[in-house]
Amino acid sequence: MLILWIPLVLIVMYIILHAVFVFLWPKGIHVELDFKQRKVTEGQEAVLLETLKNNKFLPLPVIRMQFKLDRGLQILENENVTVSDTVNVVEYFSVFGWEQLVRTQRVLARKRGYYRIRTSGVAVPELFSLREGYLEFTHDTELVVCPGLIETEDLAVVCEQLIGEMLSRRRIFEDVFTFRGIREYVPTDPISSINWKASAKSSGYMVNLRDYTVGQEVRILLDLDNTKERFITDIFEGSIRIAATVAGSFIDNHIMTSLVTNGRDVLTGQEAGVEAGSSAEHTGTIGEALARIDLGMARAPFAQRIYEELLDPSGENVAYLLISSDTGDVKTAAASELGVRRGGIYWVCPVVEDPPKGRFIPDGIEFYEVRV
Amino acid sequence: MYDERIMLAEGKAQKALRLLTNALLYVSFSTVTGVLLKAPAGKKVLGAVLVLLAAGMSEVIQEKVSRLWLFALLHMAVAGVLCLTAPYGRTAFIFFGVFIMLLAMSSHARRVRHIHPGLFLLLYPLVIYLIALFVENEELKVFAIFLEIAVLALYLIYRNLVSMDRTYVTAGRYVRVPYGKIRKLNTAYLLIFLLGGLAVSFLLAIFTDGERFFTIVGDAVLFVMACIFYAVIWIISHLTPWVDMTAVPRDSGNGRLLLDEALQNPLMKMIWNILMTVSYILIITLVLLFLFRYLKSFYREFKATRMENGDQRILLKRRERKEKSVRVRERRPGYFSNEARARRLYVRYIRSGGESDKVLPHHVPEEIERISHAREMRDPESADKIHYLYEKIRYSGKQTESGDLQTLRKETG
Repeated sequence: MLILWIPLVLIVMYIILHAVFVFLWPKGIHVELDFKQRKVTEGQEAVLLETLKNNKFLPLPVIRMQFKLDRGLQILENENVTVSDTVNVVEYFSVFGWEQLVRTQRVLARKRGYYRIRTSGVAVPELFSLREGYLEFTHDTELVVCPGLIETEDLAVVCEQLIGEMLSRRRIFEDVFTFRGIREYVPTDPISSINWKASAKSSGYMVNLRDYTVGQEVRILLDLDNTKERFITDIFEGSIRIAATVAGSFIDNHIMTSLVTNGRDVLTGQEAGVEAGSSAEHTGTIGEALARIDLGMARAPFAQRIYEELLDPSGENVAYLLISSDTGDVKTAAASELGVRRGGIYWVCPVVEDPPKGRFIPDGIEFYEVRV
Repeated sequence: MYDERIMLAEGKAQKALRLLTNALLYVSFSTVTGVLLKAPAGKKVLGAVLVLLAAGMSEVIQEKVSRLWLFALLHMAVAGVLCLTAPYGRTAFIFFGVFIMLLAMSSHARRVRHIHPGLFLLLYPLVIYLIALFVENEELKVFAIFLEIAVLALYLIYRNLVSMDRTYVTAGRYVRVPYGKIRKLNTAYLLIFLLGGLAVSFLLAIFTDGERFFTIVGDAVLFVMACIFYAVIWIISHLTPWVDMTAVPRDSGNGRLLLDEALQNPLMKMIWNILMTVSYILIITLVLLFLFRYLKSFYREFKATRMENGDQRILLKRRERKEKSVRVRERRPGYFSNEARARRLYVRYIRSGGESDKVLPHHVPEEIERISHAREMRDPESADKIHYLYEKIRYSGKQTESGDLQTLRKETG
């Protein structure tokens, strides 16, 4: 009976074609999420590239892709997002066979931090039902948002004073093994410092400039102790920004800068310290270390760390800059002792309100308050 | 937020589907009634036209009226008008009215965005076929077969519309959705399914009873063309004195037009030839035009490097496709192979460190052992041996020796 054959065969044909579609659609699908820049500063824009590749002949009319971002990042033109504890992004695509689509999203880095996109999901609705097929992809794309700089007058004054102090602390003994440059001869220069080759090429005598025997180093002690009843994120973030700003200023003036902090790195879980350096890349290294500090992780008391500096023999020729909002007795005593033993310590205290007047500053400490 | 054009187009598609379904149901019901009552061809056609109008009015009522009592009242009025103008007799049309009411109420009650058809519709042609078997009417059997194909196609379109409707509703709040491309690809898939189904039905009919099938199809086409021819003659007879309707030969029994005899008249033959030629040209032109416009827009979209929503588009080159397929052909070690066993032992060793969840896919063995703290669970010599053996098995590319595997098993415990 044709009346039974026709619908039966059509139904079987539909089932087979539908099964082929359901079997084939996940093959050859690939999703990539990449930030164009690896590092940006707070308040800057980054670009997120969403790439969807369909490496097979079968076109897919509708593909819904979704992934999550931390709330510290804001998608500009944010109509494709819903914000809860994370930022959920949903994108719709439609691909032909053997086609790759690249969509560009502008992302505003609102908050310092280390952001990663670990997974994304792709859903494809079936053509003739309300069911959906789902596929998950793993990614390893990261964006480091370095702390922004503080450009207030208070901090600028502190930086200038510190830099001036560092420059004036330079020893008068030169290191004959290092070469810094050439200048013209003055009568007080020794004959042995004359560079005869350079002098032959120029109109007068030229002498070598040597670097100094002792390298100046600034060690930034960044205290992120949570000793108050209220966890004031703004002060900690302000401290981190101050550290980034002063580090940048020192390195710009070719002063070796290192970082010691009790803040923990979000990736390694260890304390996020940085060895001394003064190259242009060192600013980025310190910035990245500060970006990866996770304020949610438990931190060791910093007073102990200050005392450990007294035992460090390399600290003899180091200038200390302590950034701490905690002016409690324990910390003040530790800082004072360090300051007395090491020829002085600078203390920058970030504040959010007007500071109390008549604060007692013990010996060995140059105290500054900076509004953040 | 919604793309208004797309939503408008989807709304029109839904209405068209509902109208088509209603028309199919009403007209098929009318035809079945006419065949069962052995009504003449003219009355069958008139009956079909009347119910088609009724379907149109029902569509308007469904669109404009939401209150159930008003909906029911208006449909009763439609059914009442049908009864008054009944070409089959009023009794038959009372059943019509009941049928229309039932259908209208069911679509209103279901409230599925006014879309027909439901699953029960697939059984409807079967019921007609059973009636045809019972009354031994060949015409009705053929009608049931064609109705079945039409109903299946409608059902497929309905299921697709429901799926796409949900997609559009969820996508409606988002931006940069490529609606145009979605519709084009979806239409392409639907056409492939429908044409494939039509081809299968066609082939099935030919292989099972080809001669009779072609005869039936030919007769059906001839019948439709004869109706159009009759209508054209009627119009000409009213506009000009060239044709006299009384001279048109008709069957004395059922009033059907006797085409062969009518074509003996040179004027009617000329009109018939013109009509056939125009019909062929029109059908071919429409099909070609549709195909051309569709394929042209498809091709334009296929070649574009940047889409309307700003996405950059790249066509993957042949080399990339081949590289991908070559990569897929690499064989993974079997479950019981030495490599797979070594990997399982190593994974167990890493998990013993307690922090294996921090390991990422791109980490090398040295990083894996450090991050997972697996090295700390063993003495240094043993940890070094495990590391060495694993790297040898994993990266040397040579076949794993059973001695290495045994040593690894011993070290990992």
